[in-house]
Amino acid sequence: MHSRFILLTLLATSTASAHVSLSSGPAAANKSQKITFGVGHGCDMAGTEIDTYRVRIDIPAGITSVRAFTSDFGKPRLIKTNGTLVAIEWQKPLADLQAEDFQYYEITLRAKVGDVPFSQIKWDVHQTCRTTAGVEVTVDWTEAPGGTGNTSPMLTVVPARTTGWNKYTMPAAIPAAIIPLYFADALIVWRGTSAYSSNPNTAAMIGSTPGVTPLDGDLAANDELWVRY
Amino acid sequence: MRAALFMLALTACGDNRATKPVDAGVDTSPLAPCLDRPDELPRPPSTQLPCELLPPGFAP
Repeated sequence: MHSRFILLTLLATSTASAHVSLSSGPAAANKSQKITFGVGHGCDMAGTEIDTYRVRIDIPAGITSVRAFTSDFGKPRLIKTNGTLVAIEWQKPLADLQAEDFQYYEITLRAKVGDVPFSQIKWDVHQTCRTTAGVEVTVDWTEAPGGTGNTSPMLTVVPARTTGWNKYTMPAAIPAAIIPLYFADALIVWRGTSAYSSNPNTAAMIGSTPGVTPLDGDLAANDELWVRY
Repeated sequence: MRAALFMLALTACGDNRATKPVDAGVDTSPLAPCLDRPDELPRPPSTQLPCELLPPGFAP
């Protein structure tokens, strides 16, 4: 160990200045697909922004067939407990550590998401930053939405679809407020004669078409929807 | 006799017009990309949902 480098790991008292996010967008239920995380900023340590050195992603329940990509941080390292994959970690070579925090990083894995459409999967991420002097700080992105800490990236799971009309039966109720979360890229969503579209022009047409009402209430379990993509 | 009847049939069914009729289903205008014919692009109505956004079996 170099004496001039003092490796000091601080507890998660520091904060990262921005979210570790899911940059790949919603995932399709019951399919294998790429899931990409974006690391927009490093960590704040006593008012100084420092570069991200290591990222560990915990594998949530219901995620299977995980394959990790080599990322901006280099090759992945699998972390297993009793033979079961529980996390993947990427750590960049010290030579790649930046003296300042100015990079955007992406980390990708391929995994199969369970058959749980209209749900969100919480991914806990642990971001470790390091100064060129060897001081490390770890920020845990493990808080559920609505908490006061660093919120975990949430993977929105949508039903598998094909271009054109798709008919879905809601597996569970969802509140009106999060309908846009699951249908952001749909041309239009119908329940009976009520319709929703994230496109403001289409939404205006919904409001002015005789016999059609805006779909602005909660969706109930077993509701049948026609969705056009 | 049989040959005379055959000739009569040919005369009765023949096409005496000088030019053949134009098939109404064929667009004889020269091909051009859509961007060169913006007025012909399908457009939604200004206030109501176009029919392609109504779901199968829709009945208000």
